[in-house]
Amino acid sequence: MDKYQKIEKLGEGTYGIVYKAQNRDSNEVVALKRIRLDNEEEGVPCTAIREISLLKELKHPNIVRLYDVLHTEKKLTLVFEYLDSDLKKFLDTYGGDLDKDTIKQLMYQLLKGIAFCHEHRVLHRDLKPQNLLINKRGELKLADFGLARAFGIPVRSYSHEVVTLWYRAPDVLMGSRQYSTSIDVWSAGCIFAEMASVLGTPTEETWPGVSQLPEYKSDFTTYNRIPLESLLPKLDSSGIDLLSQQLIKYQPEKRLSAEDALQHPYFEEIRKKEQSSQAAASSV
Amino acid sequence: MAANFWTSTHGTNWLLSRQALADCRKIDRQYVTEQDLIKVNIWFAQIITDLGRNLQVRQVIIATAITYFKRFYTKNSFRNTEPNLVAATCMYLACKIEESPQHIKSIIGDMKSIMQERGEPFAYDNQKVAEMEFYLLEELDFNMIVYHPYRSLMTLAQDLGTKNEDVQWAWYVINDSYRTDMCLLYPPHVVAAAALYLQIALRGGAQYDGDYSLTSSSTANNGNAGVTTRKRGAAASNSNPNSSNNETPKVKDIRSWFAQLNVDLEQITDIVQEIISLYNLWGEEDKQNEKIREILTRLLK
Repeated sequence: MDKYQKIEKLGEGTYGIVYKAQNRDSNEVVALKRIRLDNEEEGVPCTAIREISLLKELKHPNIVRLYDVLHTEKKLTLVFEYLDSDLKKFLDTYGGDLDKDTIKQLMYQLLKGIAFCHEHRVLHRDLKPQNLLINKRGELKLADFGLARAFGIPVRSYSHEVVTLWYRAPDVLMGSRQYSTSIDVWSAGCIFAEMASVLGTPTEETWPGVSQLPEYKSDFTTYNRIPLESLLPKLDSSGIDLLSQQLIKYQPEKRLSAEDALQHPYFEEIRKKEQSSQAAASSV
Repeated sequence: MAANFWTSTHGTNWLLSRQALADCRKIDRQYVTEQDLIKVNIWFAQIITDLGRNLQVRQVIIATAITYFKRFYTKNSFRNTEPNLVAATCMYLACKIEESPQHIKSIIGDMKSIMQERGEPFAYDNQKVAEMEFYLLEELDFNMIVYHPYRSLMTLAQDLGTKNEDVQWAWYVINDSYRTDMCLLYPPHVVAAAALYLQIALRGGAQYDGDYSLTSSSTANNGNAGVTTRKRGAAASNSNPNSSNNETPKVKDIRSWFAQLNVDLEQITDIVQEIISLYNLWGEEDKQNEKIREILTRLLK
């Protein structure tokens, strides 16, 4: 482990301590995730196995890069690219006061990362601001794939113990185990709504079939749907449409895919910029 | 799937040429012949398959475990390692990666009884398997996601409108393909196409005698296997994609369907040939348990 000089402790992930460190040879700053194995009866933890195996396959500008895996006597160390901040800290720093363009930029990158995962048949299953890393250039990258899984593997049903409660899709909350990519889209919608600053309690009227889900209770407290325009002045009408009509739809099958969400009019300007910069790059 | 496959670690790091694979086996070849090594590979694939059956895991997990085993032995020799421990650990890791984790002690327990049936002890404890897992992960370069032909088979069969019965057969052929080096040599969708071809050609071919009762025994380790495989071999070798005599119209249609698939027909022919020789060899193997003992003694001593 002499290759890296620890700089500071950054926090604790689902299965280990994360440090900021520097490569002694190249001076490159990295994040080290350390997994202790001495108390492990069952070898390398499944969460680590998942994260390593998936990140070895997923290489994309909006997904955190796993540079290396080192192993010593009783420890496994994952070497990641380092980003200064995450969306949670970022939101806290700005007191929730992000400008419209920043919100749009971040949301676009989030959906790009999700779309890439889904295209490679990977569900992240734990999208939340803490797991979205951001650097000084405003780049956003998906991180913490400890709960992620490859889908399409024929399994009868998935665990419903996924996704931090606040960002968990209503169909999963109520015990549906048939979820797919729409679970990540819901989380993205929640994050969008959080950045931009609500739905009412679901009924058979707004979500046919909801009462059949195993954890549905007929005595849920009733909240009325609040018009988002009044709550979220940061979103223009196309932003409101993307959020409320496409992402945080109760019915999972009605949620837009991440790929399609990227084509929504809300992102039109970004797409144009992206295309012209690609055109410029290819013409050089 | 194909687009993902070519950018995956499987597609970029783990498809070898026959020459590269032969080079990997130089050490072991000092002790046994090429043919013996094939038998050794069949032997260990069977051990891993039996372990998977005892643990009641899905077929894909067995396939992943065998693939790990074979990948491991592209970087190591049987001579300098303990293949029974490697086999058990490959199953242990495959269960984790395919989201059906098993306790180390169940793996060890089942492995013990499997080896006992073969008259061998399995004298490794939890710690040994956990250590081996570490070493295995490193040798795999932490590339753990493996693509298998099963998914492609379902897609191809649907497109071709293949009968369920034929799909089931092709599925068995794919299971059997893991006794060979195919998972190191060919992309999974090509293996799937070859398995489907073999099955359809067999059914449409002139030599087909109408006996379907041998289906399920292709994976069973019983005394009939020799008979079964000879029949399959004879029928299939007559329906080589390059030969054109004695075709039924159905086979012709299928050939044109295969021709427009974006796969190398030469590779399909190679795979079909390899499966046929596997069946011939494997049938022999069942009756010659003594022979494999003698090979293993020479190899592992």
